[in-house]
Amino acid sequence: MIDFYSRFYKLVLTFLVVGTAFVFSQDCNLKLTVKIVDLHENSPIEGALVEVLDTHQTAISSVHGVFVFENQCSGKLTLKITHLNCEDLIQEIDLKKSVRLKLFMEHHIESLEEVIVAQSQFKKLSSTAQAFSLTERQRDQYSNRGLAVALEQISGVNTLKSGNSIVKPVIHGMFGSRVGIVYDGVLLENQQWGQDHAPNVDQNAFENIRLIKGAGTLKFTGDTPGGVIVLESKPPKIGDSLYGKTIFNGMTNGRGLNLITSWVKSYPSGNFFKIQGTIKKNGDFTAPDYILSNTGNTENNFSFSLGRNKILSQWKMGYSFFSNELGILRSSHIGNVKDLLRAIESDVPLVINPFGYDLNPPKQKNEHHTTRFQYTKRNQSNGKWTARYSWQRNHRKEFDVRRGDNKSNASIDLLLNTHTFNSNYEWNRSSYVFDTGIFLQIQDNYSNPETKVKRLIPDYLKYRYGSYFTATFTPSNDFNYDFGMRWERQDYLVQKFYDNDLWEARNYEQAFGSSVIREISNQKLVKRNVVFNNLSFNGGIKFNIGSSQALGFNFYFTQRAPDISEMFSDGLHHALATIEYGNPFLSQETTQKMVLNFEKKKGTFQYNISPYLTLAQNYIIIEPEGIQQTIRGAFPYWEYKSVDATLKGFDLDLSYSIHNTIRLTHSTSWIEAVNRSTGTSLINIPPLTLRNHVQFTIPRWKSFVVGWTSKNVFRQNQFPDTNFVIEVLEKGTVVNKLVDISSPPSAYHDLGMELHWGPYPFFTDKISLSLIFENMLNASYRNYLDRLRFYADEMGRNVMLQIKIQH
Amino acid sequence: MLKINYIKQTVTLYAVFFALGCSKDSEPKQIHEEEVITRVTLSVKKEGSSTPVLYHSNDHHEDAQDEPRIALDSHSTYEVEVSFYNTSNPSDIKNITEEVQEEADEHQVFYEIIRLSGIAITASADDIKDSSGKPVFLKTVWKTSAPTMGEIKVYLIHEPTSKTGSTPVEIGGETDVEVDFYVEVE
Repeated sequence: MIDFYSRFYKLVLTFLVVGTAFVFSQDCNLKLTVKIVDLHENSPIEGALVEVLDTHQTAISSVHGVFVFENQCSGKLTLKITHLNCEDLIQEIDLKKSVRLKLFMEHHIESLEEVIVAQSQFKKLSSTAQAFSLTERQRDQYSNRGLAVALEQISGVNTLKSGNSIVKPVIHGMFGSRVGIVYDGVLLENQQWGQDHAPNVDQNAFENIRLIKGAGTLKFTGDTPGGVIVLESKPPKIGDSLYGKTIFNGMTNGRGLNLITSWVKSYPSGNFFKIQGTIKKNGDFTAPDYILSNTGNTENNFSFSLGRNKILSQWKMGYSFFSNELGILRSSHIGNVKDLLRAIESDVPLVINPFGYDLNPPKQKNEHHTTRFQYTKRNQSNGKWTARYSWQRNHRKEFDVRRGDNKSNASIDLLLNTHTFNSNYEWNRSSYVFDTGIFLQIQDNYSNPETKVKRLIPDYLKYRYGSYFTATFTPSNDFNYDFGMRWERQDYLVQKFYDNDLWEARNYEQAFGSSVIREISNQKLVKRNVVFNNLSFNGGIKFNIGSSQALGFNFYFTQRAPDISEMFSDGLHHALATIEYGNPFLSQETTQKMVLNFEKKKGTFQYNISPYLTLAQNYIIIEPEGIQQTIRGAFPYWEYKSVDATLKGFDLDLSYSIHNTIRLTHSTSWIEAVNRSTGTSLINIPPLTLRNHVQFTIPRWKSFVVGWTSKNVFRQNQFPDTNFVIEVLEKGTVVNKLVDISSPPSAYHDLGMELHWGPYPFFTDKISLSLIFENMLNASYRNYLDRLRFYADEMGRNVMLQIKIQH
Repeated sequence: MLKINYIKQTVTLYAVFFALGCSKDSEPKQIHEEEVITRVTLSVKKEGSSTPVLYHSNDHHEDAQDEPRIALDSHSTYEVEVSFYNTSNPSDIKNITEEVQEEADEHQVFYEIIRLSGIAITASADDIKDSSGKPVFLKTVWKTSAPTMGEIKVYLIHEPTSKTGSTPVEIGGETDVEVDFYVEVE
């Protein structure tokens, strides 16, 4: 056998030598020597079949585990290494000079994912739960529109917006602290309680974006029944190389420009350095019929990371800085409910100014710094220990329209510092993987009193600590199951000023009287320690039916402590003219979520059918409670409370390919959510959404793809009635008028088109071009999940040009 | 499996973080809201009289009072001046009217007459005017005719879209103040 291969090898070599004689531009005398070694015994692996995919050369490793390819040309080549009992392994090498490399192979089939640390694969998030990921094109297409908009391409994911710039993801009808965002192993901690808090993370710093529609990553979070979004950087290649990507976006709506660039330098020693930056500027966006004044935004992000990837130990550290300034539609800043009524009754925004890039109040400014360190060490018995520390510093400022000396002063100014430390140990065996760890988090929120506005969120210290254990079993290739448990304790130490009239009206004296530490003029300073113990549990099974179908079932039990905002918020919201009160009596929220997943992922017809059911006890929602008379007029006030709820729905994805030239995809997301305590519907639940996509790849025109996207969003017919009546003077007489803040807007249809060319060679790089049309028909519509729907239409037609260069 | 030295490192790190976390435990400062208006005062002076009568409308923060009742004589002329105060810090009451005067272009006071017949409100000759010469209606002249009863609603509008409207809808902007004064003309 070996003899045959060596003869074959010589034959190939002969062809190669002849072939290279005709190539003049490249250095083709390079020699690649690779030794394949068993990770544990450090012994050479004999008889592995090695193939250079680019040239179809093959070789077999010798008794010493060595194979040699001579007369190689400089440039990138891809090795495919196959060994008995092993799955195929692909390794890219960037050849610049003759090198000797040592590749470590894991001798067992079950842990092949980690054969080589620098292998360009991402670890599975879960062995049973379906992880949905974005393709590179899907990611890049929305590179200038924020994480939530990019994720909206996945069925079951919607966006909750306050205009175009402030967009947050909704998964299975849940958002905010019910959705976790993990970036490079760090759980994002920014202000996420409000509808107008978009995640402070730049998705362009990551090469992989995935999500699980459930609390599927107990390692990072156990209290996110909606789902977890996981952003990861690609592990750099081992070897001496410099590569990167630059994207330039220009868009007509908002006359915006956006530049993203990232570079990675790696060394054969396993050391690497990565740097990335994003700059973005948009002016006022426009609806089909008018300018959406003061809706521009700017964003400046920067990150770097460095580390060393070795088989037995790895370390990396990184720093990232995210900053943005977001304008909020000027006409959405109102004084009282009469102003709101006026806005609702008017078809156009009450303030329309000429186009501009200036951002005036109302606006927000966010800064998010992340510093992280990670160290991983493997031992000889297939265990892996990892320790991580991260520090996140989030500074959020919200500006309202104010007068006098406070004109340029923020109304909300929150500084949130979060230190997280975690450590875990992972055992890998042939048919099971165990992972256990501990974590500790300290969070400090400081609400700057210089705002001269009553704190909406009080000062607090939050300690969070606990541990988790997960186990994954793979008894056969066709069946696996997993389960996990996470316990955490949350200690809130809150210091809050209560107005005396509120204190008396709610009879807080009885419950919290002993916590009053100071009485100043008409307020009481209350210092309270609130403790929650949360337990999360999940379990899943997955069967592979034949080679292409799979059936999985996952169960998630989660407990979530109420947010600080849900317990302690206290203030006025200018976009809805509502006063919001937290509820200090809330207890933790418990949910049970079941997700069934049936998929076929190979062949011309593929599908994914996924029904789900969430039962929730103590589900925390905010509802109108009454009308409060103030010097600004009457205000409805809303208060947090807990109810029993049921959220059920399904996500359906279908895809059909015809001759590799046409691909049709369809997705449907349907959800219904009921407050079981009252029998009414829950607020802000996404309406039925259908998405159809047709994509043509024309083989004769090399590297050209054209696609159309059609999105049908139906009217949400299930909503709670939160309307109220106010008195208005009309022609000298007082009349009652209904303020309709509940009725959802009509259904709409959004048509998009995208054209992609490339990649084409461009000097030493590759260049791709895309032309993307959004809302092609320039349709005027309003979106139920946009808080500014009372004031203005959604964005009109947008044409975006994207130039992408891969270095 | 966890080696002893890892545990040691872990424990040390924990200790450091706890120390960091516990060291900051300072008491938050009380905020005196600066620009909020908690009191609207009408100073009503009958033509020829030298002492004005003051009527106050207070925010819910203050002691609850009945809505103020303004007693006027029929067929008379009154000089009325409106003032806005921030009384949230009782030891430091701030007069917000000054800011309104300084930013006359961005403010408009507006009176809405409810169920009152024969009462006319015009800007006083010495009223504060904005840069285009339009009165802000801080100082007004009220003329009464026959006896009547009703309310006058006082609005302070911030950044009005139009300064010439005769209804709140036409004036637009944000409502900073909307209070009722009962008026009895005898």
